[in-house]
Amino acid sequence: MKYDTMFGLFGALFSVFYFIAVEENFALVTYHPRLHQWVWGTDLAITGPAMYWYGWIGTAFVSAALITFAVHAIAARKLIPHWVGWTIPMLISGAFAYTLRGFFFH
Amino acid sequence: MGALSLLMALIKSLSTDKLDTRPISSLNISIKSESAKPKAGARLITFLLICHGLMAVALLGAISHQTMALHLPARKKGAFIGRMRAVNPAVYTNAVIILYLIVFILGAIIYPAYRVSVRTWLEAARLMTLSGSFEAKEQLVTLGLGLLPFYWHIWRSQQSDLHTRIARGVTTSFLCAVIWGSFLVGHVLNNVRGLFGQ
Repeated sequence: MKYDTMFGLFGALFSVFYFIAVEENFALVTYHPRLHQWVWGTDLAITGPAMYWYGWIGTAFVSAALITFAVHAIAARKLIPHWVGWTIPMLISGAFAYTLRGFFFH
Repeated sequence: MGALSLLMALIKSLSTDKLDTRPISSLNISIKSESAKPKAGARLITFLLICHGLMAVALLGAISHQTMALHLPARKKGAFIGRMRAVNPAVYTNAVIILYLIVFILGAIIYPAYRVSVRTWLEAARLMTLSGSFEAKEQLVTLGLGLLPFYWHIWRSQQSDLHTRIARGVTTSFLCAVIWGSFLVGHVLNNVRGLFGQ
């Protein structure tokens, strides 16, 4: 496959952008479950809660895909080392554990 | 390790007296009467929730087989555990990816029902550890989603050098831990009113 050597880079970038999207609340879309309404971007809660999770995934996916394609276009022949694909998601999962500690140690 | 520590914190919290033990009636939470007929939408959510759980069981089986066969390979097919370890771990890759996507999509469809009904109940009942467990599940499962292309690539690769073996081991173990942790959290939350609603 043409892009398979870039999958490690995509995984790493996806995790980094997802973490940034969650922490800074950069959501590509917002869903209002009580109204069954989708809104572009990060929207405030109207009636009931607003759901940003879908938007965070969208932000991370689009950002990571764009940069992966760009890197592939610039340095197509360079192999991304395997460790990039797993070390960064592991570090990001540790960062999430740290940010969520308040739920468990209160 | 992140998923493991969160799971341990969850188990620890369940064994302490931090949970709100007041009766439901004193929490000012409206509960539908037992005789109220569920709407069609609620029945569909229940159906999808059951499908989500069943698919998750299949996913657990696939990823557990692959992880065991990878880390504890057996040359001879012996008894039950031996046969489980004696499989070729690479054959589970596509099944894990497809099942992961199905479980993820089903979870994403039923998520609004959780957000509106269950999470508000958890917050009102001050079950913050359980609410946080779902938050952790949400984030780790999404990280696992982003890892799937890389996971597919390293299992498809014919290379067997040290870097590839380490990448396979860590990625597969991470996905296994995330799937097991998510399954247990989902199972507890699915029964939360029965477990903590008195």
